[in-house]
Amino acid sequence: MRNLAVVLRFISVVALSGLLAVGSSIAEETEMDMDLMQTIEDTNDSLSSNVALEEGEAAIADAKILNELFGVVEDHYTKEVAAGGDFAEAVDLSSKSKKLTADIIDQLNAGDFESAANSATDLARTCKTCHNFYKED
Amino acid sequence: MDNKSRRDFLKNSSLGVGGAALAGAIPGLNISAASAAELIDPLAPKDPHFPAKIKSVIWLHQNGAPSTLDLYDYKPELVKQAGKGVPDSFLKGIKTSTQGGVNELFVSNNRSWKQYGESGAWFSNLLPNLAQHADKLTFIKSSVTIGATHDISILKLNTGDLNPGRPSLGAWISYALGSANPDLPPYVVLYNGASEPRAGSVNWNSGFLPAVYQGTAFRPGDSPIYYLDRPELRTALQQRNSLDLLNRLNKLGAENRPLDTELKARLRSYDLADRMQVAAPEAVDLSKETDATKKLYGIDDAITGSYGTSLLRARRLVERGVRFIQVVSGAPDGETEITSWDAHDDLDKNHGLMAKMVDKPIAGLLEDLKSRGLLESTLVVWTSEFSRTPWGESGTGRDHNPWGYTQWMAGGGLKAGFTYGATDELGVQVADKDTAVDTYDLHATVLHLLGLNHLKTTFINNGRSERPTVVFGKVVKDILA
Repeated sequence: MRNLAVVLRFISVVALSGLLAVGSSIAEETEMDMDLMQTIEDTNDSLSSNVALEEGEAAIADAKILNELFGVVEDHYTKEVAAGGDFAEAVDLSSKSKKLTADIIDQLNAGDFESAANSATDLARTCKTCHNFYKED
Repeated sequence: MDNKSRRDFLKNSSLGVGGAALAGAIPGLNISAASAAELIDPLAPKDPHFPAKIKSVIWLHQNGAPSTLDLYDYKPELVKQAGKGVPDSFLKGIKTSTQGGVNELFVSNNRSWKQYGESGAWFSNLLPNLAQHADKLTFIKSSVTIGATHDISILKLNTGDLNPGRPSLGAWISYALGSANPDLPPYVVLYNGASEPRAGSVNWNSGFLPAVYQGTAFRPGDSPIYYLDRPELRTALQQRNSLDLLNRLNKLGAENRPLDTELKARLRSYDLADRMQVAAPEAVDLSKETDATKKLYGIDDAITGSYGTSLLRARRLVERGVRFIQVVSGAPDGETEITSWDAHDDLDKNHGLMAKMVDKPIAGLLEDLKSRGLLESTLVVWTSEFSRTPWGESGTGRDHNPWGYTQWMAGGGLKAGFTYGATDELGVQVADKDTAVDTYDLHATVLHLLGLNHLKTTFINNGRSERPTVVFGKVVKDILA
């Protein structure tokens, strides 16, 4: 049920980000903050739990969602950098996160839950690094 | 099926489900191999994931956040730049939203520094006794956390998270390892001073773990646990007779219900309370300690006496198999003006008193543990919710600094006389972010030394597998021996 909620939110967020591609960058950034980041956080928590429980199928589903979402984040900040914004760190970290989710999918497909747990921890820490870097006063 | 047998059926079924739930709740602990007795007694000893380096932890929380720039982290550049503004380059990547703002860099005129031991660790003149044990310590000079209010950061220090509801580190350890002494709780909290520590029991509670794993606070004084003492109006014989009668009646009841394991568990908890009535006061009774030992901990001195008493009690609890002893620094007896390390103004006065209160007792604890052969199997952790800024506040104080500070550990499984990480030249923040050690990394490392893999120390709460380090922690492998 929890996974279903995350999937539904994922679908709405991806659809929203597609619509926002034609909107203003301020609106896009606001929506990024409100929905997409929350979905990423929830999915990341779910991934961590499913890896610990060795629920391979559910964990792979979470990792695939995150892989897609970090692609959205990376694209967003790449556009921001192209528009002159100071978001180079965000591009690097979202790219790293996307790569980590791909690693997790490979590790889970190989049944290597221990490596997947470590990669999921790296992923959570990468998120935290980015949020600390761009934390607002 | 009559009412009684239906009730028995439901009771036995629920116990079976409960046992199965418990088995599922501890996937990393191989609980499926646990005996029925372990399932009934949640404090039964459990095996770690791999051989442990230590048996017990003494967690020395320095309440109020000491300035480690005034204790361990010598910064010659800060001395040179004192009175000037903080260069922007030092503030990059941090948000200095603490209420005091960013003022001129500050150093105390009373501070002097010296290196000690073969490790050459720096200590200020505030810690002359602890400095003698430099080569026993493992410094983490790249500690970080989230700096909010004291209460919230203390919660993070103890539970790994900013939100209430998660178990404290000691509770996770009790849950994962059970009790090594059936007569005492595995997790004890000690404090000195007139009142309970800031923010109270949320810092030693069991969160979503069963309540049996929460810390038991031992009050200062001769009567450590509320309502454990026999009322004055009852003689010891009267109490013994009534407890014996109760015990006989309970046994009769249990014999009539041989399948009622809940009743057996309850009787066991009564037995524990009975045994604790003797064991707990004895564990904290210092009357049999020698004068030399008491002096070692500074118990003969008004300023060091109450904190020294807590630490000597901590050693006695370690000897009796208590797994996790959380010692929260308070204030010297009778002191009402300075009650923590929180020096927003007049740092010299505050730290002069607080450092004096803890310096000799902690040095005494390390020496005592070492001489008794206990330091190798014990971990002493000197920790705080955050530290203080290199810039001044209110002229002679310092504001909160969560971006880079020093904590240390001493004991089994660690590289002694070793320093990991560093802050920048002014002590504003961690010099290399890849070496940053957050609270959940400290927790992961403590668990590792106890033989526990933090990723496999799990509990299912609301359908989700939770672990002590939330989703973040990593063991600081570079400090392991």
